Parts: sequence; C-alpha cells; structure tokens
Amino acid sequence: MAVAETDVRAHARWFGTPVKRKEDPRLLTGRGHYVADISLPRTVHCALLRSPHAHARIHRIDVSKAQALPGVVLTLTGEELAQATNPLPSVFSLGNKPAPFLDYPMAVKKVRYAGEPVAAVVATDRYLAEDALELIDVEYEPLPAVTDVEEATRPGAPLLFEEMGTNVTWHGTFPYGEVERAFREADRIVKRRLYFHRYSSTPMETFGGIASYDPPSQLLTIYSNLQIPAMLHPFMSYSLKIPGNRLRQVTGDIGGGFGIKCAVYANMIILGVLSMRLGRPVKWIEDRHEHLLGSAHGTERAAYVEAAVKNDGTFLGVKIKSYDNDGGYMRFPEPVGVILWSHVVQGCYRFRDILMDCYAVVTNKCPVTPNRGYGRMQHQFFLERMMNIVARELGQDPVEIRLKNFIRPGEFPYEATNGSVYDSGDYAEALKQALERIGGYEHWRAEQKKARAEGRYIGIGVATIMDPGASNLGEMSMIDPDIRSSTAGEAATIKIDATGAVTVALGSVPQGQGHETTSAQIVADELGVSVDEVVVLTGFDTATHPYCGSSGTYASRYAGTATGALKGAAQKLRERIFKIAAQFLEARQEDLELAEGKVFVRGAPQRGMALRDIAGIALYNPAALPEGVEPGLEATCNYNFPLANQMDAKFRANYASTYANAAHAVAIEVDVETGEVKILKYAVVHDAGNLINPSIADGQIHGGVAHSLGAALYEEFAYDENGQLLTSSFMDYLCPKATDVPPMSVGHLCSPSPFTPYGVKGMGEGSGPIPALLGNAIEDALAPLGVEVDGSHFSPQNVMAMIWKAKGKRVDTQ
Amino acid sequence: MKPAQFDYFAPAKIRDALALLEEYKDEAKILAGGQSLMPLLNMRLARPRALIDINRITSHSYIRRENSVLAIGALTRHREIETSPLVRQKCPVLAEAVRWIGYPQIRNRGTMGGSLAHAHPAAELPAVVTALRGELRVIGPAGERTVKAEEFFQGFFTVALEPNEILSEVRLALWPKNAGFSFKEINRRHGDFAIAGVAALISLNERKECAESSIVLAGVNPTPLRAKRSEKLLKGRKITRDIIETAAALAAEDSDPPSDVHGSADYRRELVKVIVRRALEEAGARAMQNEK
Repeated sequence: MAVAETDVRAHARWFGTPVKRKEDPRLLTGRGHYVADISLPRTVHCALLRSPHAHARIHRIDVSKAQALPGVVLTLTGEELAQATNPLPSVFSLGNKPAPFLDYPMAVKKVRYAGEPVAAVVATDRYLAEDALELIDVEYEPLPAVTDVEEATRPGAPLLFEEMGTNVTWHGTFPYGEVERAFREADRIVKRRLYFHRYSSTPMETFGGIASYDPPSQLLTIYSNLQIPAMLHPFMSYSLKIPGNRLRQVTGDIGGGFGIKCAVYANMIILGVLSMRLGRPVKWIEDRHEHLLGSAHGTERAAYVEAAVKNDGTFLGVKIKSYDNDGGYMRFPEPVGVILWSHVVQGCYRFRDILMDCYAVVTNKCPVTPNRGYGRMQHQFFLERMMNIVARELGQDPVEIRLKNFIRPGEFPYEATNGSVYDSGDYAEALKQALERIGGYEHWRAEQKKARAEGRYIGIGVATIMDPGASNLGEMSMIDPDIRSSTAGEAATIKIDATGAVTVALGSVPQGQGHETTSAQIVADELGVSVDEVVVLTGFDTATHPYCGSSGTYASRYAGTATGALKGAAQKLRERIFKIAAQFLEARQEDLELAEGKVFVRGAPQRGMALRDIAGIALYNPAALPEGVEPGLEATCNYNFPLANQMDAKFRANYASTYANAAHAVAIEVDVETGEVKILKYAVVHDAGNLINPSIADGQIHGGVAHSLGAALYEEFAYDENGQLLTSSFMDYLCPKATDVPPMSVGHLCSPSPFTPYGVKGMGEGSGPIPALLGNAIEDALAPLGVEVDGSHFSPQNVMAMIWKAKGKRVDTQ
Repeated sequence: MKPAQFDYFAPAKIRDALALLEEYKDEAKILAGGQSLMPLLNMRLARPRALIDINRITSHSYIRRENSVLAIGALTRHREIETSPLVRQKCPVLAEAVRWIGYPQIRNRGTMGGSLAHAHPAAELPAVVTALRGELRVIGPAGERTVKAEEFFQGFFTVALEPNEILSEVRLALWPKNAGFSFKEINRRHGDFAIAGVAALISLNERKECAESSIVLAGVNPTPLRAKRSEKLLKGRKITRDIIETAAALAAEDSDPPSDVHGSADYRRELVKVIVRRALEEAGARAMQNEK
C-alpha cells in the first residue's frame, strides 16, 4: 500500500527504505559507549551485599571488619540509606495518596526476597569491595516465606508488611459493557485457571551506573542505563532530597532494555548517596548473578478466566480474575502492570462485555518491572488459549473461531469497550497470510494425519494478537482516579548549524531500537538532506536533551510519539527556512522546495540557496531576516498524541496511541517420549502500518519471537518453597541462543494509522504470544492423548508431565 | 562476581607445574581451558591460594595413534578432537560426543584433561572415556601411573588424583572396525549439560550376536555410570527389540539420578529408558551395517 500523501511528501527518499543502521558500525566493532566504558577520574567501586534469605528480620549489621579492610572507603547499610533519603515514591504518590508501605533501595529491618541489597561497600576496586562484603556480619532471623501468589492472599500467609495486614497491595474491578447479561445469554460458559510464568529479558548489558557528585556546584550527575531517566527524574530527585536542577541524568549506548531497565533507578539512589558522601564518582556494574537474582523480573500471573460463548463459537464476554505476583516490593510503575492489559482488553475480537478483576500481591520473590509486552503478554496468553479451549469444547476449528470473532476491516477506527481506539487493521488477512507462510493450513492438517498414523505427533498453532504502542499514561487513573495523566508524547530538537549540518536530539532513550537511524530518515526527508548527513545524538542527557512527561523508550512508543516530535520540529524549521528563502529568492513560500541540501523554487533548481547560506543569515545577520522570524535555525517540538485522553468515570480512555497487530502460525512436532518440542515451520504476519525502516521492523519481530520463544521453551525463574531462586545463572536460566531460534517467515501488512504522522504504528512487543502459540500447538499435537495445557512454560519435563497426567501415569516431576 | 585473591603461575614445563603443586598441594588449582574453573572462581565457589595455568605446557596437546590405542594429550582442546580425521575415523563415538560439549567458543578453549579432572556428572567426556574403557595417565612427583577411567571417577566432582598430581594423557583402546556406536543426549538446548546422556558401543560376533557392548550414562549418577547389567544381558545375544527394551529398563533401574530444575529423578530415569533404547537401536543398526 502506498504511503498516504498527506503524511509523507511525494519526494520521500529515506522513509520506508531499509537504511543500514547508523549505530551498527560502532556497536558491531566494539566501539559503543556503554556505562561500564565510562571512566571518570577518582572513581571508586561499589558492591552490594545481598540477602541469602527470602524473608527474614535483620537484627544487627556489623560492618566494622569491612571498614577496616585496606582499600575500603565507605560502607552503607539499608538503615543508613533510609536516614539519608526519602522512600522510593509509589504510584499512589502521583494521586497524593500515601504509599501502602515504605520502600527503600536497600532492606531496612527486614529482607523480603533472596538477593535484596542489605548493605553497600565502596572500595578502590571491585575486587576489594567484594572481599569486604564477606566481612560484613549480618544477624538474620529467618521468617517463613511465601512465594505462591494465591497462597499469599490467604489468611494466615506470612505477611511481608505486617503493618498492612495483607499481602494484597492493590485490588481493582473494572466492568465494561454488560457482563452479567452476556453471561446470562451465553449458551455455554467455559472456565479455566491459567498460569503465566515468571521470566525476564536478560539484556546483554546488565544494570549499571556511575554517580558523580560535584560538591562546589552541588550537582549530582548519574550516568546509567536507565531506560526512562526523564520520567523517573522527579522520583529520584525526591528520594535523593535534591532539587531537579541539581540532578543530571545521562545515558549512552544501552545494551538492551526491554522494560527491565526501568528498574535501574532504585540502585542509582544508593550510588547517589554514596557519591554525595564521598564527593567522588562511585561506579557499580551489576554482574549476571545479581541481575538474575535481584534486578527485576517480568510478572507471573495466575488467572481465573471465564468465557461466555454461543454454540456457534461467538464470544459474548469474558471475566478475568487475575493475581499478579509482584515480588517483595511494588515499585513504580507497579501496580500499573496489573491493569495494563486494558490496552487490549478485547484482543483482536468483538466481544465487549468484560470484567477485569485485578489483584496485585507481594510475595518473597524478586520485585517485578516492565518486560516486553508489559502486563498484556499474560492477557494475550489467556485470551489466545481460551480461543482454542472454547473451539475444542465446541468441536470447532481454532482458525475458524478466530475468523468468526475478529473485528472486521470495515469497522475501523474501532472504539473498544473501554475507550481504546483501534486505528486500523485486517486481522483475518494477517492470520490467513501467516498460515500460507507456514505452507498452508490444510497441508499441515494432512501432515498431522499422516504423522498420527505413524505414531508421531504434529501440531498446528495460531495466535492473533494486538501489538499496541505508546501507552497513554492515563491508565494510571485505573489504579487511583486521583492520578490525572494523559501523556503519550515525545520531544525532539533539530538544529541546523552555520555549516548547514543537521543535528537532532530526542527525549527517547533507545536501547537498540535504532532511533539514530529512523530519526535521521525522517529528518532527512523533511529537510531535504541525505540520511548520512544527519547526526542524531546518541543517548540522552536531562541537561541538554528535550523531553516530555512520558519520554523514554518503553511501551513501543517511538513510532507513535517521536515521529510527531520530529515532524513538528522539522515543520517549524521548514517554515522558517521558506520564509527566509522567499525573501532572498523573491519567490512565494509555497513555491519553494527543500532537496539536496538546498531550498529552491520548484521547477527551477538554479534559483536556490544552500541550507548553510540560510543558516548563516539566521545566525549572523538577524537584521536581514523577514519580520517576525526568530534568529537561528533550531526548533523543538514537544508532541503529545492527539487522541491521548484522560480516563473517564467509567474507566474509559484511549489507553494506547497505536494498535498494530500480528498473527503467528507454527507447525511443531512433539516427542512424546522425551517431551521435546521441535518447531517445523514458523511464520509471523505483522501490521504496523507504514514502516519507517523495514529491516529494523524485521529485527524487532525476530527479537520478539526469540524473546517469547525463550519464555515458552527455556526461560523460567524457578523458586523453591523457601524463596530461593533455582535459576540464578545462565547455566540454569536458559536463554535461547541463535541456533535455538528457528528460521521464521516474516510478512507485513500495511494498514496505516489515520492518527499518526506518516501512518506509522509502534511495534516490537507483538511478538510476545509464543507461550499461547506453542500451548495451542502442543495441545493440538497431543489431542489424541487428551492433553490439556494450562501453563505457559514448555520445558521437556513439563510437556512429559502433561502427557503422563493425561495418561494417568504417576511420575514425580517436581 | 570477582574472584578472591590468588597467586598466579604459568609454568612452561610440566615439572615446574608439579613443583608448584608440591608447594601448594590442595590449595592450588590447575587452570587448563578454564571453562568450568573460571565461573567457579568468579562465584567464589573455588578459592585457591594459587592458580597454576598450564596452557603454556604445549607438549601435552596431541592426538596420536599408538598401535591399537588412541593417545590424547590432556591439554588437547575439544575442538581439535572434534575436527581430527584420526578421531573421526578410529574413534567416531568420541568425535560425536565432543560435538555436544557447549558451543564452538567453549570447545576452542576447553580441554580433554580439564573436563575429566573436573568430572561434572553430566559431562560428555567422562562418560565416553569410560565407555571406551579409557586409561588415564597421571604424573606426580614419583613419576607416572595409569588409572582406569572407571576407577578415576570416584564420586560427585571427585577423581583419583592426588593434590600433587596432574592428568597428562588419555589412552583409548580402539574398538574393532565393525563396532557400532551411538551417543545420545537430552538437554534443554544444544550445548547444555545432559539431563540424561548415553554413550553406547556394540561389536558383533560372526553369528551377528553381540560380542561386546559398552553402555555408559551421563547425568544420572554422581559419576559416569556403566550399565553393567545391560551390557551383560546383551552379551552373546541377538540385538532384538525386546532385548534392547529390557537392557534400557535395567539401565534406568541402575541409575541414581539427581533432581534439579531441568528434570526430576523420575523424569531422568524415564529418559534413560528412552535414550538407551534409541542408542542401542542405532549402535546395533550401525554394527549390522558395518558387517555388510
């Protein structure tokens, strides 16, 4: 489909083309600038002592021996940190409500998860700092631990925060449509308890930071790989008890974030306090063991799902009671993750009568934070499993039941039951094309039949999901209506200097998404220069970069927000350039055009001026500028998505800005003797409207599939009943390697958004449904054995356990 | 994850290494490929006072045939074994097993001697060397001695090496040319330690019955486990489906698997049945094929 003319000018040269990433030459040759690469004079190194217990009272911490070790310059206990700081602000503080409990970056009086920081040591090198950790004597009184989310809600469960009297930290109920009527009118109500397991992102670069306090200026600079530094700036300023203008946050290259790096900020509070005490830079680079044990995890969720359906397969409504296991604390943005499936509460489907009944629960596990598909990948798993479960109960085909329930192409823009405005799409077409790409549905059904005759088990799975982008932080009102927010934006500054060169700075904080490239593509088109000539600044700096209330890269927000900011800033410059050129070229503004680094009269390129000449006039000869034209060639746009609104009294808002979608299809074979699952064919058809850079879009899909496949087959944070993490190294927490990711056929549909500049949509998190996809395929493969899938993790042992359960064979798989 | 302090030595001669061992005894650790030791050091699970890096002792990296024996120097890298035409030709089960160790980066560094001396219960080389009835040459202050593989692996991460001894060579008796072999492993991802693994060899007599067999399991016992009852059952019998099933069941009965997050003891025992059956089928079929 052609790019809408109103959005991209006819001479778009770079938009939509697979421009090679500007970042790659440095990243691929080891010349990236990650936080660990920063080396400041007089830096000292921090190591954190972490709790060996999941739940214990701290009676005493003796740091005297550690302090006496030569090379140690400072120690800090949780208690001392708490005296120096304000608690980490909770989401409730945004509505001026008290937090349900006090939360500090290190344990105070009590530890609530194994791996929680208890004390910090600063020494002249990291080796010595770790030596000193061994000399700290902590007297713990171990307490019973609770790790299971539902158990934690029951009376008598060990309480993490005795002062709360419960482990349920938040509960909210949101009815949409007429739920009870739907359930009354249903031919059948299908109920399941489904469980989505705990995994994470494991970016190649772990957390890390350097806090550098300059006593004369009282300026604390924090270099880190926090992926939302601007958004958390006020939180950190509050905790550190310093004004915002004395806290500067800088990021450089970030080696992957995926949401998990929203949680870096708690550690930065510790470093900030240490640096302010010492007046010198303090560096901490998290090691992999720390990362797996104590950084932050994705959320596990147990849910009771009820679907009200007609006998023809039409879904009328859904009730979901969900329990999110938030771990030892409920840190910002939690408990927002508990309700974030509000973005896509209906999925791709037409049923509108929905009850969300959501519980946030603390347990003695690592705290959680956003992780690719934050809050909604669990929902995708539940919905996509329920589609198959219902189809099976009704004796229907899982593809047919989806086709029956999809929102139709003619219904867009489609306002969902909760006020989310689905922009565009053709969900049925995506599914059909995905099936074609694996070789055809009928083909695989025939293969399945043949295989069964030979005693082999082939399965076909589909999953069709939404991939929304740029959450409207209005969703926070669901947590507390007193929180008023509607920021779905980004800010950008474009500067043309006296040499005519273009430099761009954004509030986005990319972690590998290629914003230097995509931003250069957009600006190059808008200003008529080559993409190679545009420099987009790496990283982010609160002191020098523009930003807005929701700046940062998370929730697939760049396409839906940053493009608007870039376009807005470029438009301001174009207007100024045309005004100046019109005067000097004695032409009408509307007859002017920008291309090849020049502004010229359309159809008469010899009547033109180079950009550097315009910049020269704007910078050095303001008296010659037309009336009312601002000197200089620099412009900033602070953009907010126009349909971002505040939540209304019925819990309705347009919770995301863009609504991309994806269909995944897979053919697998299950080895019923070992439980191994082999992927035979894999395809994704994705629709994010107009793609800024198709190869970056493909990369997002490949990465998302790998990540989600990892969750389904390999990755799991398994805890024992005492709250000890059993998978705290890469020997046991298994990420898929390149050779574990199957070849995949990737297709794109193009349903442009009518609401964004250029018709783009955010993407990169729609590749999260593989636990549902494989669950559906495994259940399909093993249908002759009567296997039912209710979990999301398919280790060989788990698959065998399902088979043995169906066969009534007793084998201990714990 | 920084190691505790240690003294570092990098002798170029084996006698210098031995002298250091004599000095530090069990407070020393030998660094060969470092694929297991470095993580242990970094996690401070190993805290040697001295680290003796033997990578400069180049005299102990070789693969050579000595009559009916394949001799492999302890410092030979996995990758050299994997790519050796001699190993592929004379000892294919070893070439096959080595492919299951980690991935190329690990195989480029890891050594035969290091893997055997570390003795991870689920590692491939201890199992396959035991299956090949290997002999291990050990050098100490008093000179050389030879230990049978079956006696070398004594328990969980425990081997028959004195603190002042170094493993110097592995000697593998070559099986008859017509023997069939198989190496099977179930793991979470290729390159991970085995949830359960098996090395199997079968040679046939002129009546196409099993003349000799070797079945050794990995990952289901504190040490490589020779399935002796299964071997005994096969001897002198035709390799039939029934015999194989029974042999596999016996191997499962004899195994003593651990439970961990990747597999319970019961699951592993079930896997033993499956992989021993599959390995014997493959080894048997290959032996029959070789007879033709």
